[in-house]
Amino acid sequence: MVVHKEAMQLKQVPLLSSLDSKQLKLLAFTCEVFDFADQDYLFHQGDASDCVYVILEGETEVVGQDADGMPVLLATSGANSLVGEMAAFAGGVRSAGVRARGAVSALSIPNQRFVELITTNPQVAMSVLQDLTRKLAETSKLVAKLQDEIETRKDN
Amino acid sequence: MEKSIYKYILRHTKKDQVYLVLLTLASMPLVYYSLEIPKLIINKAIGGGAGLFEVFGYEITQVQYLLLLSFLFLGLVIINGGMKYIINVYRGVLGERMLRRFRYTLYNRILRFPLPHFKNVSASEIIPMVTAETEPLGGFIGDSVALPVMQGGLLVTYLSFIFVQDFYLGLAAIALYPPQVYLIPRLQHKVNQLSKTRVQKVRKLADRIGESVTGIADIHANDTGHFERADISRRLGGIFGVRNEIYRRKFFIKFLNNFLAQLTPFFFYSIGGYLVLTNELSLGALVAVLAAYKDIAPPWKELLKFYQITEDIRVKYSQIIEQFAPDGMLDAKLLEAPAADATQPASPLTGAMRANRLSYAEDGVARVDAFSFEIDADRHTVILSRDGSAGDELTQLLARLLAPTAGSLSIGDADLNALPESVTGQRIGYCSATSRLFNASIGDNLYYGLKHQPQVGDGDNNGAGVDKNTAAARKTEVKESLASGNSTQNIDADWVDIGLSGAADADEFRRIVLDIIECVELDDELLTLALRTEEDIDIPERLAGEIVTLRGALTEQINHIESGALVEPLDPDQYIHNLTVEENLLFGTPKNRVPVADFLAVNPLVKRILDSSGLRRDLAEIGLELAGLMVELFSDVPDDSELFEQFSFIKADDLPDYRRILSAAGGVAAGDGGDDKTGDKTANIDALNPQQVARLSAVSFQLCPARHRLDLITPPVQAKVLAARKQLMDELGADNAQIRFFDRNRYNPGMSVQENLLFGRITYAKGHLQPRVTETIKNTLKSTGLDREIMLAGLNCPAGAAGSKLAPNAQQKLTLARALLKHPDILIVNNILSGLDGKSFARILDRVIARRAGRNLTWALNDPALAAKFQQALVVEKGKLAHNDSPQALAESLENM
Repeated sequence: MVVHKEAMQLKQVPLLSSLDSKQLKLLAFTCEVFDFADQDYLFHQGDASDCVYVILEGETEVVGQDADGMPVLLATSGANSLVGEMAAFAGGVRSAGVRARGAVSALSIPNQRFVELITTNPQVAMSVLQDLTRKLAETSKLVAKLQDEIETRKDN
Repeated sequence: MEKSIYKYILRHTKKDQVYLVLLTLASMPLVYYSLEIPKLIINKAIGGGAGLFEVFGYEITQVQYLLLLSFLFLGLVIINGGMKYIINVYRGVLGERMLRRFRYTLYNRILRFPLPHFKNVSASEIIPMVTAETEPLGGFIGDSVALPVMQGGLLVTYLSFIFVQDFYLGLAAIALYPPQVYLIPRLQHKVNQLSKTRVQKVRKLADRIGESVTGIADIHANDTGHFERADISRRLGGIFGVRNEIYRRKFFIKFLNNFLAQLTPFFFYSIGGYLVLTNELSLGALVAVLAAYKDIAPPWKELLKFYQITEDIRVKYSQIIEQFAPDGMLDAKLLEAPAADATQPASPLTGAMRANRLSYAEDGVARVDAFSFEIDADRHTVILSRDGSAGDELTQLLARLLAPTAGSLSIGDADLNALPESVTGQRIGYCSATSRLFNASIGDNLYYGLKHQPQVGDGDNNGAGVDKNTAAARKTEVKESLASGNSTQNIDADWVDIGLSGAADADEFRRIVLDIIECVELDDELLTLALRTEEDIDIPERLAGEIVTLRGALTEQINHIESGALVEPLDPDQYIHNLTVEENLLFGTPKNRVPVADFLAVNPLVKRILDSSGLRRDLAEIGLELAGLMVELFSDVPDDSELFEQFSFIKADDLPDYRRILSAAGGVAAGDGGDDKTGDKTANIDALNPQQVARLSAVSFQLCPARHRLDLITPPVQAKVLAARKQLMDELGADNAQIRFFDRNRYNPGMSVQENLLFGRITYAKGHLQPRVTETIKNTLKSTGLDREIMLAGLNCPAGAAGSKLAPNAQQKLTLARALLKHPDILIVNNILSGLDGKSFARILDRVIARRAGRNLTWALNDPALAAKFQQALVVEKGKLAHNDSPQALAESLENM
């Protein structure tokens, strides 16, 4: 059954790898899978957040906006990665948009279910924490680098 | 309202009670004779010896005499029974009518409660008072006079008999009545007080449970379940304590009564016996007195019981009416419609609104402190209250929802507080963020401000085609309503007075309705709702035809979004992967609007087709796998989890049943990691009884391959479903009374308008594109001009409890539209739509201002930047009127500050 295959794939998602097979099957069974065409947006920047996506197949692009409102490619994420989880915690709007690069198949976990997963499974919570910490560290590095760049330009 | 229940009863049922007493008294001789005749039968007819008996001058034999008396006895029994039946029914009807009157009176009083009173009492306190607590009153009212008359009469008769036998024994018989009459009321008084406490405690409990229900999310979010349970436990304990005390006292009273009742025979035996021994009394007389005393006991007991019930009811009545007489109730006369001609709309309010030292205080705190101002009838005024104070109170005073505690408020020459509600409610519009939507259709909510009186008389002349039965039923309804002092107006009448909106005819009214919906920007949400709702929204035939015609063009439009897999068309020759098995089988919607599953479960033709095609067996095998999967996935899920409701094929309560079925089938279950672990399915199905097989097939009926992503509906099963569908269609024919089959050339009211337009299902895999599909449909509809007609049909969508089917902003837009639609002379808007973004809010404000050109508009809001849109600005600060001038002057003074 497809749900079984999806559950096995969810096991590959680092954040969810600590869940047992029954929990993963239930998660797969109770979530929807959407097929996105190339350049279709999973969500836009500023959208209200309602779910977290697990990329089952394909690759996505994280897109922000520059000062003139033009799209800027920020990052890419491939199969087995989680996208849109930040807004699920913050409960607000999407900080960046995500669109499909080529065909993408993604499992959509409603925010409430996702938060429930974390609060009832300490292992998942820990993984989420580690992942967010890693992202924070990367962002801090980027900020430091940008600051350096600004200083250098000022000096010039 | 009458302070005493007896006064209340007499006022409304004096005639009936007299009639009832007469009936009761009339039945007494019959009772007496029904006791007398058996005596005659035994003493004379049987024990009187053989011979001839003379009856009314005729001589008859002993057997004939016996038969005559026996039939006379039978006749009396029937007449007595009949009398009892008449009296009981009369008592019942009388009681129920009074109960109906009482509840209606209470409801009427709720309508007259001053608004602030609702801050102190909650719905969960008031509701049981009107419903449950009044219930015993009905039974009591029927008995209130007749019962004491009847039992008292019996008691007096028996006592007289004893006194005739022997005066002293008579005295002995009533010797213990004085202590009983003295003691019992005193003991009862304490019980009454406890009953009062109990009622109050139960009301408070109801209130707290009500709070828990409304605040359930906060209880979970704060983990205060333990705290709340402790509170409820304390309250339940309190009620237990009171009841315990009541029981002990009540049963002590019972004990005392029983003891005293048994003490009298003691006197008879000792004193009477002594008198017999001393030859002062005959033995026969003593036996007769003892027999008579036995008959005294029941009426005396009944009278004491009646006294206890009366006391109980007296307490209940006084406690209920206390709660329904708060200070500051609206004058009943103001609530009633003017008697002259209630069907005519109230005459317009003209002239300026003048407040003279208008004040309103709550709990001693001045919320509106001596405001004096004037608002012209055609002016647009903004009420600014930066600290959020007094906006509520001032707008509610202007709408006459609150009564001023001092000062005055007038419109033209009329004192606002002396105007009847039929004038204020029709000529003044008011809406606020807390304005309530009712659990009816969106249209009913929108037209709520136009429903003041039935439009044709009492609505009874409404519709010439009313059949005889309906007319007769309505006549009885009116008669009964009159007998209980209830409203006789017909709720089924047409209440919507379209003239109030300024419309001359129905067409113009529809145009005004749509304009207002667009004015408050509710159009988009209403159109979406109309397109997506599964409810039958009564699409007119012509519109349905246009929708069918549009199908082809729309399919092309949708293909522009994404060609191919976006919508799966409803092709009668294909298995539709985005429909459930049952929908695939039926390929239509039941005409009697029952759920598809219920239709299939009972339809004999479907049963026959399922069984003969072998499909039932295939589906049961699939059901077995599914049930195994459900048991595996959901066995650890809490019963009350939403997951069960939304996703499980099996309800939480039914899970154990399916476990049993699975184990009867040999424990084979899908899951445990494999497609290949299903074992020998045939053997397993054979082990089950037909009922179990039917339950399993019902499980797989709900399976939708595209949604559930379980590859269980194999191509051979799909082929069987298609064959069964075809057989069903062939046997029933296209125009049958049961199913409306999906037909590309016909509108199907069982589907949403959107599905009718698409004639297909948006695939689950492309569910994220649903908003774009809806957007495309809307654009197509707008270009053809059908959007407005569909919106009108959308007004038939249910709004849900408190408007819950609409987003919070849309709910407020609807209340604003409701206030606009009645085209009031004065429109007061109190801090509405604050959840909207600034731009949208300003846009709606501009539209409303334009719509109200030349008519009054008074809007309370918090943003001073919007004041420039108005002609006058009142600024309220800490309960004082800080500014009353033009907005320009206000802006200048703000700049200077």
